[in-house]
Amino acid sequence: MNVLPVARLTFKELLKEKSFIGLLTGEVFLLFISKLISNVVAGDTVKVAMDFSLTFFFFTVALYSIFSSIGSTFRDISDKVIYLILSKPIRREDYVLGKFLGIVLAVGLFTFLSFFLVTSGILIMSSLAHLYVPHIVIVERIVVVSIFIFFMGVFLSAFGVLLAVFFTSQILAIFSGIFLFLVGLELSPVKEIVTSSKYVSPLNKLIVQVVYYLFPNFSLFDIKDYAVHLAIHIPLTYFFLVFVYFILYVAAVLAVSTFIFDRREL
Amino acid sequence: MGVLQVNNIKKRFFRKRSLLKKQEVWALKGVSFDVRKEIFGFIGPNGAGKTTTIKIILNFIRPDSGKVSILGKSNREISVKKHIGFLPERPYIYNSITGKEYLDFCADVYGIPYYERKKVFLTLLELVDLIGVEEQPISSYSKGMVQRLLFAATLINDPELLILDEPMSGLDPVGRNIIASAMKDLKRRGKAVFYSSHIIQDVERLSDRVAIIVDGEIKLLDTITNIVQKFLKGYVLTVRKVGSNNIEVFKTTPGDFWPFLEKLRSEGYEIISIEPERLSLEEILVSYIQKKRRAD
Repeated sequence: MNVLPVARLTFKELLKEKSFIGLLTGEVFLLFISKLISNVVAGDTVKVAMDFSLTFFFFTVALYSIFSSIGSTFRDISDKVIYLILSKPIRREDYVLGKFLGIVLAVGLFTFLSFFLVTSGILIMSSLAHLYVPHIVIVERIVVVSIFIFFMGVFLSAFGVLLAVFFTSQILAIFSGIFLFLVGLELSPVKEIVTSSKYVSPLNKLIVQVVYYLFPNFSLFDIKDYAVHLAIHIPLTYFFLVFVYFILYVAAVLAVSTFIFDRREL
Repeated sequence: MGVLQVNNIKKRFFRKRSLLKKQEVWALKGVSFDVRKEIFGFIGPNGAGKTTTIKIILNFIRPDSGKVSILGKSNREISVKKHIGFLPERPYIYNSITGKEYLDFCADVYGIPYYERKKVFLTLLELVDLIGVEEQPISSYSKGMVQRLLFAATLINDPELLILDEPMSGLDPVGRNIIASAMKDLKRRGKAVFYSSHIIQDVERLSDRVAIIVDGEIKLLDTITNIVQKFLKGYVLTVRKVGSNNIEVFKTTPGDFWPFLEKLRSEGYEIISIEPERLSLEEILVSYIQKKRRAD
């Protein structure tokens, strides 16, 4: 097994890419935007700012995961780095796993730094608000939200690797990744609307339900309301079930990626 | 037994003619050769099948039929890759990492312990004249420096078989000389070097044996000495009449050589020099390409 050298090389490469620092800088900018929006929107300014900050956090990690996983894997294949790697005693499945692991490490560090930026931003914004006492519970809840965002990033990265080994066009792979993410994010509300509607035929309801269970559901990882509204409680079984779903789905996606890559002519 | 044995490999691709029509193209039509502990040159025009052959040897693509074995084992076995070094044509590695980070990656793969790395890296970097730049990002290297770094990295596992795809292209004379010296040194140490090249002079200078591939078929496989003898055009004789200062030059074909020599002797000429007139490897290659074009 030569997974770790590939993971280390991928991690080093991704950390030094401009997109890593670029997106983190963008995140700081988005925090300022969140503060500005909270000033013009009616309601609890801190909650509004938190809502926007965590939404931007969620989408920035998603973007980083899509771009880093597809970009890095695709570059390896199109720029022939893959020849240097696979001419060594590295199996194709080791490459896929190592690549994925390296991307996961980079996404993990990106999420951690984003968490640090967003939490600092939220604490500063809440301390600036009158009659608002920043509470440690908020930080604890942002930690939980960040872990879920990290899982979402890992989930998307697995799909990124799959799309990069499947498609021969990087643009097509990136657009497919973004499409997959956006559809996966809106799946729950669509299912709710369709299944509760009396105007939709039973067959169409069945199709939507089948698609709902097969298609990757990214909305499961979006629990920012849990941090914004302290009254919301999520049962422990939800965390457990989402974690099992995440592990099984990622394993399946990696198995398919390995299967495709093993047969691909380079 | 050869270090590398390629037995009757065939490979076809499908070229899109229109939306629904695909044309079958045979890139390799039964290629066979073996590489011993020697420097083996693999030459041919563009699109002849050199890179396809190399990709099959390294299991990047699979042949439609035929077998490749390296050190007696199938090329599909991962263990054989421990004994191979490979440098692709116009190689590229991430610009953001440093030369040392790439060497570290290679050392990780081959399990070279950390305490040995400094010595190993120093030897390799010295070989390719890159000492002092290993901590700099690869983005600051010239094309030739990247190629030399990656060449050095192919030697990190002391390979039994080194496979190089156009190793000299894009290099200045100093870089070419570094790689040529390293190849000769490997051969001296009982290793096999298999390489493709467009620079025929280098192939003629370095190789023990050469295979010429044209249109997916091996047209000629022999030692450089034999090839040159096979393609002897004739002889150039420099002579003068006994007692005269007038030097005359004659050309003769190999078949007419002895009767012509007898004629000169009977006419009272003395021979100053006889030089064989040979086709260069480049001319031989061109003649095969022209033959193919005429056949098409």
